[in-house]
Amino acid sequence: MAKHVLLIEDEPNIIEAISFILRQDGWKVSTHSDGTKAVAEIARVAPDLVILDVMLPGRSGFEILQDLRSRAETEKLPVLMLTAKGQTRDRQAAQDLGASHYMTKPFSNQEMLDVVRGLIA
Amino acid sequence: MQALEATVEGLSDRLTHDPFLSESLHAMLSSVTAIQATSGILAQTQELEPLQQRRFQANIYDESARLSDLSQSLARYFDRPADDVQATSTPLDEVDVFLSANNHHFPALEVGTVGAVEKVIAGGEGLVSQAARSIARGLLLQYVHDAETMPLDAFLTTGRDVNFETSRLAQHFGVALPSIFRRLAFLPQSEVDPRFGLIQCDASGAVLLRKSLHGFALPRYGAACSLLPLYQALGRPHIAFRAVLQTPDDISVMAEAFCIYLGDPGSDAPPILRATMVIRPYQPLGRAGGSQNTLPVLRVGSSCRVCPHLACAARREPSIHAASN
Repeated sequence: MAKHVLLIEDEPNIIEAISFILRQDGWKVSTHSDGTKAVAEIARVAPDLVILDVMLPGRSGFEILQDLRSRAETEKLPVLMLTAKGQTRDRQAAQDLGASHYMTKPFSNQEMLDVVRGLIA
Repeated sequence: MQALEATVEGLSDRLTHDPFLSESLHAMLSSVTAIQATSGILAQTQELEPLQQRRFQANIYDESARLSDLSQSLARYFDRPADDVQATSTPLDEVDVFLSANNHHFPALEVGTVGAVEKVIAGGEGLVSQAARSIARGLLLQYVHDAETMPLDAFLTTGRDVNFETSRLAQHFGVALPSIFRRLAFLPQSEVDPRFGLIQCDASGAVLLRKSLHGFALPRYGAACSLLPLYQALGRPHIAFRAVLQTPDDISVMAEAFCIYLGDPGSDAPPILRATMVIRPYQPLGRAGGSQNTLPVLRVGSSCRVCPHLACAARREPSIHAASN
């Protein structure tokens, strides 16, 4: 059975491209765009991996990650953080809050696949 | 792309303090990401259904158009002379220019329909970016609604009868004060005495709409004088604030501000606020002035940095005037 990736991102064309790339690689992919309801969506779909954008409407990816790490059921859920800022302090914040991995936009499709494969191999 | 990332890194301090630059570069990197991922799919996927292929091509086209808008906006931003107040840099600046070019009045929308809005935008001077056109569309749709609710002739007649007193106009037309404020600011200047200025902001103080009044500087990007009733209204929604504002140049205006909730204030979501302030030249009316003569007089400046009121309790940072004293 295919592993389930939940992509939480608000840029529609990025959602479409990443979803396509991951599905082509054999993953089951679902998507969500609202930061305020992201934690509830994660609880609902129980994914094997979350790809989480930092800049989301309503609630930042950092806040969502912090929330996930404070809950027993998602404490160890693999979370790949995405950001477009490319700033050192964002990378540090992601690590401090417990992100499993951190990628800076833009990234290559192969890089994305390698990281996802590595996180839920 | 590494160069672009390096640029972002190098400008980190400026990014922190310049919302326009930060948002623009974030949007550019998002567009580049979408284009790189989508073009990678087109280049590397052996068998792609024609429909899917066209869809990805369209996505790349859309993102490239967005990049074009963003790059033009950034170019204007960096090219802007420091003293060129007419130069545009952000979508809101473009809207500012567009509204000013039309003297904040749109005869075609006074009895217009939603369709008329698109015609006005299509011929809109200064509306360069898609974002600016989108903001202008929202404002003009509001304009059409206001014009329907408060027809121009009736508004002018009633307004003159009540000396453009906002509470009486609101009562007469059965609308909230911000609607009256907007209508006053968008009246034809040749028909109205006095003239009105307007500013609207969200809970962060970010300016959403502004119409200057000669002699009284309204904030352009926030960081303005925190004594303005506009900001006081944010702290107490649905309560009207009125005051006489006196500038260091002895310009006096009467200001009225009102803040409303957008959406349901009772929900768990953070409340979304919109504060609106209308200003008009202030002329003491003597004994006949009634309540207007009892308004508090606030000594305000354009921003702390250039304000000569050195002992102001609301001061955020020292004034350049302090160094010269």
